[in-house]
Amino acid sequence: MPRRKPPSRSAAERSSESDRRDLRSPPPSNQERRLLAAKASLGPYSKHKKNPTAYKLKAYEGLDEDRTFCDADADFTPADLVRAPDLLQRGISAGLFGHKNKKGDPSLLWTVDDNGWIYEACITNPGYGDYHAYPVLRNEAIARKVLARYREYVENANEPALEPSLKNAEDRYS
Amino acid sequence: MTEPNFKISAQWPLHAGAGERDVAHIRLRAHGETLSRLLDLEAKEEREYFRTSAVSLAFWFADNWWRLRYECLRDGRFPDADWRMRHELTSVSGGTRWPPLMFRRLLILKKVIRQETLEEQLEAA
Repeated sequence: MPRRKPPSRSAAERSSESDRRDLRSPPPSNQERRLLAAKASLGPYSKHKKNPTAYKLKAYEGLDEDRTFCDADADFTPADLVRAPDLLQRGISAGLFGHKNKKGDPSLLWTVDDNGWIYEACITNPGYGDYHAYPVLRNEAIARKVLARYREYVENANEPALEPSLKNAEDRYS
Repeated sequence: MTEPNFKISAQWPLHAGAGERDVAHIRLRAHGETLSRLLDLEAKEEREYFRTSAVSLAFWFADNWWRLRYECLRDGRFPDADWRMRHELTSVSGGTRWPPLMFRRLLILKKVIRQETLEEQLEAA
């Protein structure tokens, strides 16, 4: 009996956990930055808060991972939440987009705080531009790539207010 | 039988429900040494495993296995960020603590009379 060629296996799309972390290259256009800036928002997520009730969040009920914390690791307190939208806009303006999209939104974004902490923002609600963020630790290689692009942005932006963030980040992640 | 040079052990909760089978207690060992020993300050205990997504770790090894196995550091120079992102465990995913481990091919140059031979081994350093 002749053998028939078996049907091709459908390639299942990988889960979000397999997303390789990297910056988009080449960087996004100014138009892409403007479109994302118009809709993006950053919301706190209890998963990355050591003390979620201080942020008026419910306790995290997910799996018990060795998580990083905005408050315990980066000293990003509830009082700092008012700065979150500006930080998100800073990262978008700097073109710190991840290389993968979900429903048109970058699945990852990065930004640099004045005190030098880099935050990675992960898409919470694809298509709506909702993100949550957590600190990038000192030994993570992605920090070098983010800083290289951010340095280029700051050097061309002619905004003295951004210079402390660059200097402090270069000190923190050196 | 001797222990393999490199071993990954993952342990999941006994009664993990649907959606709870990703995070595992993961222990890494090489040449009989535990590479994932850490001090849990909150629990005030030392443990030999870290808790994170086993799926993410598996994908990272699958994506990078060739480079982990065969790519070495040229000239002993400090690696750039792209190289580190393919060889350092802390690059697997954000928001989770990973052991600061780098995997690379180790080249050992040996002079044997008039010829040089290369010996290779995977080093977890």
